[in-house]
Amino acid sequence: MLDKILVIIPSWNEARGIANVIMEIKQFLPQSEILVIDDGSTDNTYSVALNAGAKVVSLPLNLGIGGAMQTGFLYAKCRDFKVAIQVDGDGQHDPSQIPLLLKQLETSDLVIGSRYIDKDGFISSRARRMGTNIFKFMLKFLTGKVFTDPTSGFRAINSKVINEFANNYPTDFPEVEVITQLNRRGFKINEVPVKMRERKYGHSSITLIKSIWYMIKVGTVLLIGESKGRVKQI
Amino acid sequence: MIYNFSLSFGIIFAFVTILAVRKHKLHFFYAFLWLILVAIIIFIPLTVKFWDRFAHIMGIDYGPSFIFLCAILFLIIYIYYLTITITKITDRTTRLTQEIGLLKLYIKEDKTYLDQ
Repeated sequence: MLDKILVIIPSWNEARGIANVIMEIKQFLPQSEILVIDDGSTDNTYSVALNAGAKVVSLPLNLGIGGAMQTGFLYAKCRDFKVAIQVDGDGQHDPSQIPLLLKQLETSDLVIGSRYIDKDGFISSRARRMGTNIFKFMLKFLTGKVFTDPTSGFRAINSKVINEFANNYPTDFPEVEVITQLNRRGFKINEVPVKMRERKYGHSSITLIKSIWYMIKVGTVLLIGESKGRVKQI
Repeated sequence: MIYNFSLSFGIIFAFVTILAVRKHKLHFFYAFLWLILVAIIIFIPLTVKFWDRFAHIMGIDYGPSFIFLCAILFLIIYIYYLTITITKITDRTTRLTQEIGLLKLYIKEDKTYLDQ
């Protein structure tokens, strides 16, 4: 499981904290390749990440988290990586926990790092927990399985899912939606308990209006579902 | 008076649409849909009695209401089609942006390799 690992860090204006995240990943996963997706930042995220030793894809437009992550999956597919790990650029995800994801990935296609299994470390705001619980119940209803932290962006996937995501990945708020997408196609999804940290730098791009739109959009998409047939490629 | 207005509007709109196609400001396919609408706008005032009778058969007492209903349905379908087109274009823009980002990285890697 230690060969050809790509760590994808989607970043938008994370110049203050991205170097630390890259350093920590290098420390705990020295054999991995680190790819920062600079999603149209207006600060110097690109040069900071580059100087910290990561490869950086500089997107000319801001695509949002889904479009940025899919860029990483396209790279992983093109370079034949066996594993891709998503780590946020704001320092919330602790790279020392990555081996836990990799261990679980030996028997799974997608592993989600959940902060709510052990409830250890930083727990997010009450509003976010409430939103997470709504999705948790919806996913239980739709898939019959319990996902305690479906909005977590701390994830690891294998090459089968890399191929799937390179072709088909939601543009905005993808985390919850892809769980049903993969479950419907028979991929094996598991969670592992992880500790998360409080955001060290910057502020969340999710405003109140975005949060409401998040709930409406993801909730509706989960209920509508997606055609079981082949999804039309771009 | 209203018939003359519809006829004039239809002719001017057709002229503007054809001009837009000739100047490559509008794809022929979309222009074709608008020209169908123009044909309907011109055709309806010439056949008012027929549509009045047809509306009565459909259970609509006031003929123009039937024409308005048809016009609104046409516009809803057309706008729906346009939102599908916008979605397709957005997806393509996303993929192009991703490819540009990746190509910039590959070019930079090649340049570094050549410099070494």
